[in-house]
Amino acid sequence: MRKLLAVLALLAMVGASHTGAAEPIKIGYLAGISGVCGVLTVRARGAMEMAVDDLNAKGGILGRKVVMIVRDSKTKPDEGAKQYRDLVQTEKVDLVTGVCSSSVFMGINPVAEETKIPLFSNTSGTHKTTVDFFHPYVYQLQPNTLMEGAAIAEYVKRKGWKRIVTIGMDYEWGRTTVAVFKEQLAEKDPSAKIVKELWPKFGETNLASFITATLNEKPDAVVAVTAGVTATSLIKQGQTYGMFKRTEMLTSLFTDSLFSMGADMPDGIHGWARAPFWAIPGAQEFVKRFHAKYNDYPDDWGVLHYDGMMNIIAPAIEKAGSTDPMKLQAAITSMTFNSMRGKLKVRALDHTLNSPSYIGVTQKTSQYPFSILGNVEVIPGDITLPSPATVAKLRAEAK
Amino acid sequence: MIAIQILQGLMEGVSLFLIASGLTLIFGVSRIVNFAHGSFYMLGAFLTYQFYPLIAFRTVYGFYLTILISGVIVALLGMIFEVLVLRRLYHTEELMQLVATVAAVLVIRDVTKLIWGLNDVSFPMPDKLSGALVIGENYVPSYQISMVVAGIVILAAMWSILRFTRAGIILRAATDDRGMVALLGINQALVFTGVFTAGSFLAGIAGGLAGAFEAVNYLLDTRIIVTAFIVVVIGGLGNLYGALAGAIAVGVLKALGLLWLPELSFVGMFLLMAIVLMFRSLRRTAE
Repeated sequence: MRKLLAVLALLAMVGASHTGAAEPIKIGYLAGISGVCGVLTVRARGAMEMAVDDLNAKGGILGRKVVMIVRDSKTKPDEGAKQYRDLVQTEKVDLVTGVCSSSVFMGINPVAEETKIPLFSNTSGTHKTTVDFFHPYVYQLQPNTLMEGAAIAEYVKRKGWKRIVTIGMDYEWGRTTVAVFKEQLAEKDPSAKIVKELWPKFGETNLASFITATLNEKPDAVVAVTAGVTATSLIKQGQTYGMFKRTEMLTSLFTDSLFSMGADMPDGIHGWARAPFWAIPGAQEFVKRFHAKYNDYPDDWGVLHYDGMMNIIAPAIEKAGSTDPMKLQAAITSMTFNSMRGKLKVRALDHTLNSPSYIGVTQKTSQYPFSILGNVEVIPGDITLPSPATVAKLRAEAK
Repeated sequence: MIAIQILQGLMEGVSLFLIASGLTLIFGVSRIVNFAHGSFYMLGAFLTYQFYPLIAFRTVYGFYLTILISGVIVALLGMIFEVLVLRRLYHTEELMQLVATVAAVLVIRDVTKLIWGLNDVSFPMPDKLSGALVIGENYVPSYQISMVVAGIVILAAMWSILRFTRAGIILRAATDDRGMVALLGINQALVFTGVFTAGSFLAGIAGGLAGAFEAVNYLLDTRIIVTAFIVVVIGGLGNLYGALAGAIAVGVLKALGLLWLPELSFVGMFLLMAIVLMFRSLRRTAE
């Protein structure tokens, strides 16, 4: 009799845990919280926390609570891979997002394929993961390096600049972007020419010799694929050389660069960005709430993570009816998303969103303690996405 | 164009000399390879960023005053580190001293991140120095010229101190022969502390001066220390004038390299160091 009661009790417990409260949806946020990417993940993480709270306030996704588990890749590929495995095996996450550094993205991409847990990039721009080394468990929800190279070539063509000097940081992102820009520019405007290519090393802060070498060529424009301290130093030093009076400059000006230069940012510099919040009407509500919560403005990465989570990943899970990766893939590649950046789609060929690139000119504003990009030209993803022929060629070369 | 690039290289060389000088002095006297030198440089930059807005912001005298104050603060930190940590390690093997300076790098970097965060910071040059001298088509930034002047002033000051003051004579003697200096009854511990403090002061002001021109963040320490070491090795460890020559060589090589072989401009200074080291070892074996 006692044995029977024990068995019944056990059965009841087992039964209860199966039919009881629904399992939460677990999102792994794996990013370079320490290391070089540190400054780029702070607002992204804050935006993700807001997205999770907002989703739960609406009852979660598929009626299930959303839970975010944060891990630090230390901006190192092997640490990222280790944490990805841990998130999958120990925490049993349903998907992973966050990755900032391209080298970490490359490092965790094979783990996503191996563990069959989908990975969504909202910051790292390398195309190699979705184009060259594609598998069904990786997604790119912002412009990748191929798209950006095409976007800046389009802008250069529109401006009619013919003599170009490139200054590119000597690592993957710099090298690839300049290479794509060169190729695309030759296609879009054969009369334009890159007369010199300069390659400061990663983290270089004294750009003076590069500036004089550049001005020596008397270019119409300088295309600078720089970030972080190199970008800030280039602009600061360029000013003392009268560079912006003597030539035009087009450079990457993600919002975090605008924040750090503050009032020292000169007007008249052309900059490209992936999600400058003031130029995205659909983001204003989010920006107000972000500012109220954190007393800070979201940078590109904050906007992209919130947009990605709320308006792409969550609706896709709803449509798929589950977090099963194959059902998710079917849903994502068939939907049109009402994202903050417009009505966008993820194409099946390389799981890449046709996100627009934003290119404008710096101007001071009384509204914010930092300069913004004005006269923004929105270059749609549909004209910057690599052609299927290009994708096939890169994939064949990667084998 | 070559003339402009050479001028450019000279100016960059002076800036490199400012940081290399402290490093080579410290090594020359106490044989310590001070990895924390880059951290003191970085602190000098951050402190200048922090205090400049409070001290006659945007004026020239406010700028140099802030740099001097930052340099003194960094010197004091260096002195504390030397007395509390390094002094206890002089009798141990050199590896321990190296590890201690690396530990200082890590601690200083974390404190920097705590106080100033992860973002790059930038502070403006004094208004009167933010323009440029226009020679024909070429701009020579006033700030760069002021850096060269600052470099010459510091070099002249160091030379005078080394030549004419008692402390300077002791420093020179200690660089040549540590043991003899101790035998003559001079307090070795004081000499070491003194040189470390002076070297840190130099690092601090170098950081402040560079910070007006470049952007500053918590990764500046490791970036600058590599170049500083290369300059010091090229010039000869402990050789102040060698550091000057090395710094100018590296600066000019980089600037000229950009004109002709832009892909190799970074590699150039490593090649130079390798050649100098080979030449030196050949000369030694020949003697």
